[in-house]
Amino acid sequence: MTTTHVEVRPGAYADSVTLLRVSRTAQQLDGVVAAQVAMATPLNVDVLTGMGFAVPAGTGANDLVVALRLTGDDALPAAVAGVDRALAEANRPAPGGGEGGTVAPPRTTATALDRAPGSVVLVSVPGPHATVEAMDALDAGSDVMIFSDNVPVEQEVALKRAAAERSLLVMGPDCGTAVLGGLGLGFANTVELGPVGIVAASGTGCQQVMALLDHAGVGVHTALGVGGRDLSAPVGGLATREALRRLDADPAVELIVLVSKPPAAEVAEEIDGVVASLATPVEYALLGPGRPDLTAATEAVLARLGRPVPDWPVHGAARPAAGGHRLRGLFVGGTLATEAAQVAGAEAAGSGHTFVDFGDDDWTRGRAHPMIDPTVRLEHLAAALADPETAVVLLDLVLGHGAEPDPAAVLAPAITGARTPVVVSVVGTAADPQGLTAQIDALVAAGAEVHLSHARATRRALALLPADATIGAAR
Amino acid sequence: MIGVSAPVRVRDLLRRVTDGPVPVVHRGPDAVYLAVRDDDGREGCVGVLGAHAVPVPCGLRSGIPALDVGTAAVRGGTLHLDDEPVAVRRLVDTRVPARSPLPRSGLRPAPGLPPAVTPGAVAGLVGRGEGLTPLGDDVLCGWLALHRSAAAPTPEVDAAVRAHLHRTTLLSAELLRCALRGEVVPQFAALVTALGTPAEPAAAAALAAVGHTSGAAMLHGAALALSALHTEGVAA
Repeated sequence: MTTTHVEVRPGAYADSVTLLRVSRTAQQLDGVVAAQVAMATPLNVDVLTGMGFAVPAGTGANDLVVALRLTGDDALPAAVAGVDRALAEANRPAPGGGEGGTVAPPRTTATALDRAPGSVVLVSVPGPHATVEAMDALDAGSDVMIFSDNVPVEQEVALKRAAAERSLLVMGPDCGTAVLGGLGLGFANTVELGPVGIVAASGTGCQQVMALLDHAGVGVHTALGVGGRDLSAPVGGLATREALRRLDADPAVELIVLVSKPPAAEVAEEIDGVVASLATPVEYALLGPGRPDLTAATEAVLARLGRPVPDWPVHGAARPAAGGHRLRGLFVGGTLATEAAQVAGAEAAGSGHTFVDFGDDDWTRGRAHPMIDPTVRLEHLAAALADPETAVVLLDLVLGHGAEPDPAAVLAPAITGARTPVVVSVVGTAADPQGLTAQIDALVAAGAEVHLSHARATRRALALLPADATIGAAR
Repeated sequence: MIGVSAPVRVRDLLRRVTDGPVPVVHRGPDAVYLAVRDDDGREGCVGVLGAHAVPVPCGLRSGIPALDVGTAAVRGGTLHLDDEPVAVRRLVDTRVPARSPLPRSGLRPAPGLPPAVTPGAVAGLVGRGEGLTPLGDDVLCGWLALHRSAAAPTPEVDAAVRAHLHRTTLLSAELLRCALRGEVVPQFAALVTALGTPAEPAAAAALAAVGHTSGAAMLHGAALALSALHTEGVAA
């Protein structure tokens, strides 16, 4: 004579694996003829009812039902205890996060890709070793992002030719920023998913465009880095071509923005040819003498999308310079240093103004990038503020994943009480982990004037120079 | 502070949830699922996922190896788990990739699983089977999402699914709503991308390995959809 036992457990979480394991364990317990452990959806309740189990009224789809058929009532306590044990065990995380103990981490790129075929591979080993790892990834059919710098150009060409034969993409070398379907790699800002796709030969250039677009309410779906040398004559835009094709094929991308230094003349023609063959329009943001700055290029992107150009925000107000005649630009972003020098243009020639990129190889050998370790720039900032020849200081502050957790907390004390006017461009989005508003507020409280547009910040810093600054410097 | 990656829609949904306690409907070391109600009173389910959970399209993905959550509440538009705020640090795209026209594929329906999805069959599928996401629902999810990928409207099946959502678990109903909108787990998106390429078998195997039966059931649903769409001439 068998008896049945039905038990309802509200809100118990158990995935299918757990439930199956519990059912199987329960079936093997002494005195158990049959066991069903399932969520109490109407169809499952029908099945249980059909099997002769009485499921209590009011049992909902989110409740767990344990239904047991037993050889007799005396088997019940042991069976219920067995089910409890099986549920508790199933809900305990396995040591090392997997069944059957820990799995040794893969030791090569190829074995890692055996476990996760087709994954994008991010290489950040020292430059001389990066090519081997990247080639392994290409051989396994994966796209590669090479964060490493100091990769010889001939190796870059070899990698990108191998990738082109396989229709794969090599981002880099020295690729600091990428966004793949909203997911940032390297130094990347938190952006809304939107209609813009970016191909960028410059990390901080890409970040400036993303930050301005974010302020204008326009999201970025994908940003593919190609490395600073991709559009040079030796590399010939191999990665740019593949990246353009990828974004063209992606229906989520309505407009492609190409952010780079101007390409070598022979490469420009080829890229123009590729661009002409695409169905998706391409807007150029090429930073070079006589060309629009990144803010103007972003405004062109907005116009093309039919979106209004917002007022680029300014917080705080610096006083005009009281003395000195030099503009000191101290940057963590290479493209931001270049853009500042370009905006200053002819005015900067022979003026003694300086635009230093602390992310350049000369400053980073043997130490972390200044977006991670601010020490070197802080030393030079202190020296610049103490120098009577300094009239205005221009800085950048780059937010986003990978950057310092609270860069303003370090920079603000260094400029508090400075006699010299300090202008800062903050490159970041509202959703960045550091908190854009908090970073800006800390800098304004320290007396800085803060801009979102780096080009505007540079023009403002130039305007703060004493009227005779250029003449003074020329003497 | 718990940092998570969020599907855009889930992030936006949480912003519309009225402040107050949030019921925990399922709780385990890999995931907790919460019953939320937005300011329009619409019921939904949001997951907070640990490192080993299936990255469902209604989930906030964290890297936490084992979750231990007592209570949940929304305060000032931010979800809190045991008073710890959950901050969205990245946005993820959960949309199924567009494949129109559909390529030729080697996927075939599995024997022993539901043989077809029709408006009339829906009532017999929603909520049927083991697990927190019953097998019948997973088959429907795969079938629906593949149709969204091919931009092939299925108004009658959609309506039947919507009419039966109350007959399955809150989580599974949410995943069906996701599939109706074309939102999927990454393994399903990868399969759709790989359809008709040499990568298809590996992508199918990876999807089949999701959960215990969920991935295999979604794969079956996708195969049913593919054969139906090829018959209808939506494919290349």
